[in-house]
Amino acid sequence: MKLKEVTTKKEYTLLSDSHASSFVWKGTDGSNAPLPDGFYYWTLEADAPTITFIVEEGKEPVPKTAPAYNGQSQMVLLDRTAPEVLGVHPLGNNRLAIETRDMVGGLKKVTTIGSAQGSESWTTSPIRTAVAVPAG
Amino acid sequence: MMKGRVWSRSLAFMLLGSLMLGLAPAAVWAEAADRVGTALVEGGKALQVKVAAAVQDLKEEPWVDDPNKTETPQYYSFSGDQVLEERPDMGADRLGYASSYFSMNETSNIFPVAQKQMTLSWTDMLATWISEQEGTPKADRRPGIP
Repeated sequence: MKLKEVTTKKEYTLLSDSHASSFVWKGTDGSNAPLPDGFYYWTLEADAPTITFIVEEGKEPVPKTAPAYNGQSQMVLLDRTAPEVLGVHPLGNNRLAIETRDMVGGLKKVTTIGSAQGSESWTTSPIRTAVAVPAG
Repeated sequence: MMKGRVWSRSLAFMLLGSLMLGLAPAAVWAEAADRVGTALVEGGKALQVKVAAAVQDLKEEPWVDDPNKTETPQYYSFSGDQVLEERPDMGADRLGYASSYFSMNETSNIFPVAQKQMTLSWTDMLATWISEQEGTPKADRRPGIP
C-alpha cells in the first residue's frame, strides 16, 4: 500500500506483504514519522497471483490468474493546520474586508460574528479569500 | 635665490603632477571602470542566478506554518463584493499545497485530526475473485459490508 503526495509526488510505503483489507492510518509514513499536511493518494499494488483450481476429481488442475489490486485508490486530505485570519481592511461605505486563508485544504466557509453578522461559503475551497462584511 | 628655485621646483612638480593626474587618468580610469563594470556585470549575473535559484527553491519548498512566511495575498482586489476578484493565475504562482482553486470534490476523505487516525479500506479483490471462481460470488468484503 503506497501513499503519494499530489504536489511533491513523494511516495511512502505504508503497508507491504499484507492480506488485510483495511489499514488504520495515523497520518504517518511507514516508519511512523508524521507526514506533512497535504493531499495524498493511497493506492494498492500487488502482483496478480496464479491460482490453481481443481475443478473435478481426477482431472488436471486448472491454473487461473487472479486480478491485481490496481485501480483501487483514494484521495485523502491531511490538514492539521488551522485556517488563519490575515487581516481586516476598511473598504469604505461602512464595510470591512476580512482576509483569511487555509493553505492546505482551502476554505469552505467564513463567518463573521459581531453587531453585524456575515457568512460566505464556497464549494471550490479557495486557499485565500477576502469577504466583505458590514462594519457594524 | 635658493628659496626661489625650491619653490620653482615644487611648482614644476605640482604642475607635472597635475598634468599626469589630468592626462594619465583617462586610460587608468577607463581600465578601472572596465574592471568595475565587468565585476558588476558578473556580480549581476551571479545575483540573477542566485535569485533564480532562490525562486526555484521557493517554488519547490512546501508551505510550512511559519509566521515569517505569512504574506499579504496579492491576488484579490477589494471591490466591496462578497467574494472579491478571483485570480487563480496568481494563486497557481503562489504554490501552497494544491492550487488556489483545488476542488474539494476531488477528495472523498478528510483525515479526522481530532481522532488522530482513520481507517483506509479497500475491496479484497482476490477473495472476491476466488469466491466467483468457486461459484459463490461476494460483491464486497470490506469491513462492515455484509
